[in-house]
Amino acid sequence: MTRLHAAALACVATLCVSTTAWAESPVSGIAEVKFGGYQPMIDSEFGGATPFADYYADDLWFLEAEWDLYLYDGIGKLGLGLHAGYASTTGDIRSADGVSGDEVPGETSFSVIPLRASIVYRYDYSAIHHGIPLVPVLKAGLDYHLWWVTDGSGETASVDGFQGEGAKAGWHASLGLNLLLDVISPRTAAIFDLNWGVNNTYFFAEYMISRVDGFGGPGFDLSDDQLLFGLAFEF
Amino acid sequence: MRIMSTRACASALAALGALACAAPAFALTPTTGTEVTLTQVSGFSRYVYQLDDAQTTAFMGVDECVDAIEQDAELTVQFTTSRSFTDVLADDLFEAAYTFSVDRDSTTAVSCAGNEVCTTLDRDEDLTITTTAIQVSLSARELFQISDPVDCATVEDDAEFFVRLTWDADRSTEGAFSTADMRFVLDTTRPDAPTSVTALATESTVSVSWEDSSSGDLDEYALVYATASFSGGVLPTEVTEALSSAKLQRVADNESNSQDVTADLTPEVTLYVALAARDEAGNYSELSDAVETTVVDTIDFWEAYREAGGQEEGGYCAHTPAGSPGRAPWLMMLFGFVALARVRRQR
Repeated sequence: MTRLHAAALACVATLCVSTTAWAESPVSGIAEVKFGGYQPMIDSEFGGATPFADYYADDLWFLEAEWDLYLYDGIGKLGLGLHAGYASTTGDIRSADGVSGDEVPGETSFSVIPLRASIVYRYDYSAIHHGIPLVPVLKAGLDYHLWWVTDGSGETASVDGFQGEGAKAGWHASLGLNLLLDVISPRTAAIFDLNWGVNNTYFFAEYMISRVDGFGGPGFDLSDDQLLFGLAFEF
Repeated sequence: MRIMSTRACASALAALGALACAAPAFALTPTTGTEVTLTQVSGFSRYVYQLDDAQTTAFMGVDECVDAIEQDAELTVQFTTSRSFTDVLADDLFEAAYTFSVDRDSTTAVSCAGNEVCTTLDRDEDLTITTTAIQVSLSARELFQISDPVDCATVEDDAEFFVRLTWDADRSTEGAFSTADMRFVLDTTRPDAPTSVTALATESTVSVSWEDSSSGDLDEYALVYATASFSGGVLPTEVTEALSSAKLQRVADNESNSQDVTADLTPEVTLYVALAARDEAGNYSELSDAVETTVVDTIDFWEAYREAGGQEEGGYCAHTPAGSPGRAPWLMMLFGFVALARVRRQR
């Protein structure tokens, strides 16, 4: 066995034994902040046209906060969560003739506020009782995404009486893996709990599938498959 | 309130180095006293384009000058003190109140004691004294030595006019007076017009770029555009008064030489665009040469989406096909969450 292997084993052993070294305050829920890229499937509505990609070439930066309350605490935790996020991007407006070649002034933006409600299951039994600092998380629920488009003057875009703003309903499901950060410094975690009531802190990655197209209705398809990263604070 | 002498306001003064200050634009900076400070300049906001951050310098341009002279305005300056003013103005403390003028940007310090270029204000007639404040009210015509409004535009050189209180705050060192000043900058010199103006317009934006004006006291630039033809070389207000379609809009501070301005224009029409510089006293330069451009018809993402055949119509009543769950489950979950939170809080 090399020294490296020995050090790794010692580290894992330390992590495993150090997670339950203090008396925690009662746990009632968890708050998450996460970010990632977002590229709605708006162009999927068309056979060949790609108006969204033409104006907004890059992924939107996506930020979301989530607040879960636990309903069950036994073999893992089952809860109900609410999410609210924000994503926005801007692109240059274009000349109508498309061939003028002029770099016309003005920008058009596309913004989304995703609102979600989820059933959340966190399998943290092994983390609590066996010192394994990894917590798989499953979520599924319903979505309602507010969106709006601005024209070159920054006002809500409008065409033939149709305002460029609205909302779409849909659903989502996600699988995440949380790394319990408390094992890095149990003493700091204990102080965090004592001062702020935060029992556990996690870094996590989450893969989320969302289908937000009015449950198959016409118009915008705000669906996407996203890889998100964030921090979670269990309280 | 009357100014006692009219000759004294006409020239710059001899120096005493103690009060000199070397700021690049206004070397002769108004002083503030250890006990008496200028706290309010009131009653003449319509005659002042702007005050500096310290509130001790008032900038007046040609328009403000014309207005003040036409109205025979009184410019009131108020000083206050933490001591009783009757105390400060006691014979052994109070030295005098003066007015004097210097060329703009003069670097020469001025001491009024025994200096005939300062006009001494009459303590009984020119000062209104309470226990905590002293007001100095000055006739604009007498302070600026201008009686005809037309002269506001023909004065050759800009000037700075000071109102000064002096007193012996130290009381132990003879002749070591403290001073508190208010300065009026009368700027009758219009800045040079910007050059090399280019413009591009869409329905919602006018984009302009230019070469900077060479004047040293620029504050900002202003854009004039109209669908009717006009020429440069005149003041912006002349164009806006003559043409109903003309718009005058601030475009940028003096740090920029290009900017996009929000507009509401009709595509494909011809637009005439010119630019003017504006100085710290609010004086516009003459307009640059007007340039002609055609308003470009543009499309934003929403227009492009609709033109491509997109079915989205907007609105917040989410369209859902028959048999789909729609919004009801989502709302039920929301209400459930709120109810759960309330129950847990009550526990």
